[in-house]
Order: sequence, then structure tokens, then C-alpha cells
Amino acid sequence: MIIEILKGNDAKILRHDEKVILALVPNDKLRTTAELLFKAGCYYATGVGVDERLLGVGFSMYHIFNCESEKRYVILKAVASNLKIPSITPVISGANWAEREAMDMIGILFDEHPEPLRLILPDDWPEGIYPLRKEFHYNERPPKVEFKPPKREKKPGIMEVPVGPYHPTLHEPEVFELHVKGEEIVGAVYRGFHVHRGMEKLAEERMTINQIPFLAERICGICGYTHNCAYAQAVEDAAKIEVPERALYIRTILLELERLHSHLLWFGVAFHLLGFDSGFMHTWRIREAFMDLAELLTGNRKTYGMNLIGGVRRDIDEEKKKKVLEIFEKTKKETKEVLDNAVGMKELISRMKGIGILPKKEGREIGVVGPVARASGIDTDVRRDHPYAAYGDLDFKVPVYKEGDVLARFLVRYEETFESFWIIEQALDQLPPGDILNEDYELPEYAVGIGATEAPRGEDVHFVITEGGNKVYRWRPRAPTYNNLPAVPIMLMGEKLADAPIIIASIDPCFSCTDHMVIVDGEKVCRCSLDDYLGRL
Amino acid sequence: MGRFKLIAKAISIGRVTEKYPFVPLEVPEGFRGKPVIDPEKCIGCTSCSNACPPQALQVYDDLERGVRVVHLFIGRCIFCARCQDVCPTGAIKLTKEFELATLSEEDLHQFVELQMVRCEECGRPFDTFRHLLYSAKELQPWEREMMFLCPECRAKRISERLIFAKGGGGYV
Repeated sequence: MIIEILKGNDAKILRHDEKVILALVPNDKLRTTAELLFKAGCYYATGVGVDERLLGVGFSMYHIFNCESEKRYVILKAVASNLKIPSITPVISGANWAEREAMDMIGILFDEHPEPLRLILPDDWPEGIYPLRKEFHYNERPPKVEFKPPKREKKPGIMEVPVGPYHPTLHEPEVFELHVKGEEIVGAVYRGFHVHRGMEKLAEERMTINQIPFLAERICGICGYTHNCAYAQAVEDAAKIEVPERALYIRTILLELERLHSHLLWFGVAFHLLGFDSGFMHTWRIREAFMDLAELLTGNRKTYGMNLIGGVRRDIDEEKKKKVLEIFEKTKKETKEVLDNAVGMKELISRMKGIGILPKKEGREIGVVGPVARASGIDTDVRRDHPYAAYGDLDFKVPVYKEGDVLARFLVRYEETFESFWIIEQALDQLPPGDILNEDYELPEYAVGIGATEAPRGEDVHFVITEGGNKVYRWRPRAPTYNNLPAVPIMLMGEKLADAPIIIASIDPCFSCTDHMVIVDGEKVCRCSLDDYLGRL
Repeated sequence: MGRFKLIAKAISIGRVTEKYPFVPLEVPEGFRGKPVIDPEKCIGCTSCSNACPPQALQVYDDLERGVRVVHLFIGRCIFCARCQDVCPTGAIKLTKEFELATLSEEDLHQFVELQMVRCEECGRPFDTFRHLLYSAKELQPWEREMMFLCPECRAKRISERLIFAKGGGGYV
């Protein structure tokens, strides 16, 4: 069905296999094609701007869609003519940030974009310098230009409550400016991008394919290994590298171990925010066992550093296997005890019930992923829809709730935690013998690859264009919070100020991975820059 | 399980906080801690500096003194153990040591200096003795006579020979 839509719009199919369809779409048909794809049930994953002048193409934009019904990713490629590409934001609002990111970083102009404003670059960055163009070097420091923040006028009766620039519990740099009328939140501004680290540029210019996994792992301090896996999968997809089965199982075990520690961390943070500190202490006590397990299996508590292109670096032997199962038996019981105790607490449940509601329709339009989507009745899970690692062979359930409130998100994670135990037990039991690393491969020149994993927070998408030799031409990671954050202001609207911390935390945000901004102004929801917003105040 | 049961649970578990740093902390086998280069085993082949993702390991030639310097700066190290993977002689190993806080930055640097060989023809230092000996095992007999030439002089020598073998400059 997807292929008919593409062919009906004069698209030139560049790659067509069971995982990915890559099509070059003529600029005048881009918007209709994107709209038809969205209506066919594909949601917008991300967009990537690429400087392809060295390939004799010019600047191009890749729009990536996740087509769950066909278990495929569909990539629409559009080439800029005279730096211009028609914007698809008018038909798919989720494309807003991705297009503006390409605008900032590559200098592509999007025709009819509703708010063509700066998003990523700081305000004192000079005009006309685009960091992801190939002529810009990674260690270049352009001179700062003077920037005057616009004058702000206060609205009568509305109080501004800043949350940030460091989040009070998540210890990450972000600013939420909450506008309150009495106790009720009437507007929220998110300002981020304080920790943009220029990783893509660094990877393209200075690093080799087997060095980037270690950089990718450092995108996130909690779910780093899933980024590492997504990157490795993207390169393996581009170069058609066969990964030994044992390595795939080891990856699965570590990915689920990471999900366990991440979810328990979140439970702890959520309990702490809800004033249930003994619950926080107990979940973090249990979590410590998983950190020790990770240390045993990989050599470190958090940055596992286990992946290379073509497999993993360390094996899991019988002794370690036994140890894991031994610790599991104990921790599984303890986790159940503590979490069931929390679920049984009436006052805890009533603090989460009915607040921070995200309706399914709005969730789909924004393209929310992971537990946030599943709590709003959107049945999506990369592990099931686009099987990677060993998930295709294993049995697990995907919990879906339709309430869309904080409690639903809590319960989705609660159920997922026990699914993770079950997945690891199965994977350890079925661990096939054989090699763990395939080093016999050659990197093709300019091949497009895509890797997706289900991080604890949702779908991670990594897009790679190889350069041949041992370099990548373009690497673009997309963290799940990038898609989930626009939903936060919708959740916050009309809620009590005291509920704001738990609502913000309920998406399990990871600001360092994402860093963008969202604004809700009165009843109107829009995503635009802070300056624009302040100008309108 | 109610709230009182949670309290009972907490009492039965007792204190879980480790007494570190008053009691040493055990780390498991295979822990990736501080990397240390064994100067006796290092041959200066540059494998580690090519593999190192954060460029904590750098190898450069001091041509004046005729030594190759392998410089490890732990301030940049990410403890990934790639250097340990790629080292052909097992000279670099990650230890179990993780307490790296120090009052002087010098403690975070390790330098290994290796004597270099000068080219027979042009006199420029081009490789370390140890690496030359290490790679000599792999060389064909006809290559061995040129092993003390730097790559440029070697290329020159080979092309001269080819010209000679083909009977003069006709083919150049």
C-alpha cells in the first residue's frame, strides 16, 4: 500500500527491502505524499538535513516515517533546489522541529513553514554560519554577535514560576516557565538546548565507525546502551552486516537490564516527587542489584561499552549466567513487593489519577512514543513492530492503557518492568552458541541505514549515511524525549501547580538527549521560539 | 502489604549503605578501571591511539631526540578498554583501580618513550626499534634488506630497481 502511494506520486524508489523504503520524491509532490503516508497510519519519526554537495546532489532532507502496519521505515528524500524545499509542517505538525533543525544546522529553507525561527543555535550565533555544512570544522568557534533579549511585559493576574535552569529532581539543564493564575497553570514555556554538544559534527569529522558507538552511548546517562545499539544497527543495516545470533541475544539481555534499572530509577524519582520517600529508597536499593549485574556483565555500572559494528565485545559465560539468575530470583520478588505496595496505597494512586491527561488524538499528531504513547491508548512498541536484536524470537506482552493520565504511565512502566525480567530469563535460557563478533565486512560508500530501538523512554531512531573506508558521512540520533516533550505543555494545561513536577517527570524526560522548546500560550497550543512568544506577550 | 509492613521490611533489611571509603570497595573481575601501559611491552605501533575514541592516547614522534612518545592522559579517558582490545603485545591493560582523584594533574599522565630507528639513507627517524623487530617476522626475505629504510626512501629504492630491471628509463 505504501509503495503504491509512493509510485502514484512519481517517487523514485532508491531502496526497497523488508526494513526500509527509501524514495526520492519530487518537491512539488512532497507534501501530498507525506500527508497520504500520515493518513495511511505512518507517524512521523524524524527528519534529517544532509549536506550532500560532496556527492554532487546539493542539500537534501530525509523525512523518516514509522509504518507500523508494514513493519517498515519509510524515508522520503527531497533535494533542495536553490536551497528551498516545501515544508511538510502544515500537514504534519510533528515535522516542525526537525525542519527547523535542518534550517539552523544546514541552512535549508522550508517554503511555507508556519514559524521559520531559530531553534537550536544560541541567540548570539552569527547569521549565515551553518555548523553541519561540510566546510565548517568541528573545532571552529565563530565570533559571537550581540543579542538583545526582547523586553517582556507582564500580564495582569498571571504569575510566572520558573522551574529551572536545573530541574529540581532530574539534575538536568532545562527551564520550564509556568504561568499560573492562582493555583491553576494557564501557560507553560519550555526552553532548552543548553547542552547541545555537537556530537553529530564530531562523529562525522573526527571519529571512525567503531569509535562512534562510545560517543553514542554518552548521549544519555540512563539509557545510553540503547543509543549505542541503535547506532550499531543503523550501520549494520546500511552495510548489510550479518550479526552473530549470540551477539543479538547478549544485546537483548543488556537492553532489558538497562530498561529495568531505568524504570526503577523513574519509580524512585516519581515516589520522591509524590512525597513517598521510603518508596524512593526501596526502589533505588533494589536498582543497585541491576547496576552490580551490569558491572559484572560489561565491566562498568552504566556505560556498558559493549557494542562494536558487527556484534558485542564480551561474552556471557555459564558462571555469569548463573549469577544473573540467582540475583534475579531475589530482586524479582523484592521489586514486586515494593511496587505492589505502592500500587496498593490509595493516597499515592489518587495523586496520580486523572492528572496530566494526554488524549490519544493529540498524542498521535505529535507522534509521542514509548510508555507515554502506550498510556494514551497508542499501541506501539519498536520491539514488536520492528523486531531487532533477538526480540523476534522472544515472547513478551506490550501493556497498553487508554486513560492517558500519570497513573496510566505509571502502570505501563510497572508492567513493563516484569516483562523485562521475563525477557532476560528467556534470552539467557535460549542463548545460542557461537561467535559474538563479525569483523568481516566492508563499509559501502554512501549507503543509507536506519536503526531503531525501544529505549525505556520510547523509540530511538538513528540515521546513518556511510562514507566508505571507516567513516560515516552523516549520523543523526533522535532520542524519544524529542517526540514526547511537546506533549508536556498539553498535559500541564489547567492542572494545579503542585502537580506540575510529577506531570513533567511522568514522560521520564531526558533533556540532554533532546533539547528543544515548546510553548503553550493561553488556550492555544503552539510550538514556537521563546523570542516569538515573548514578542507576542 | 501496607505501610507498616514496609517499615518492618526496612528494619529487617537494615542498613544497605556501604561504609566506603572507610572500607575498600570490591569490584568484579573484568572491571574497566585506570589503564596502565607496560613500558617494557609497548612497541609504539599506534594501534591504541587509532582506536581510542576520545583521543586520550596520543602517539607522536619527537624527531629531534629520535624517540616516539606514547602519551596517555587519563583526564580524557572514558574507560572503554578499546586500547586493551587492539594492543598486539598486551602492553596496555585496564586495572581495577578507580580512585583517580588527585591534587596534581601530573598523576593523570603517563608517558612511554621508545627509541626510534634512523633511516639508513636520509637519517630521519621513522619507526621504533621494537615495532621494526615485531614486524620483521612478517616480512618477506627480499623485503628485509630494506627494513632500515624509511617508507619514502624504500619507495624510491624500489622504483629505481624496477627501472633497472625493465632496462632503463624507457618505461618511466
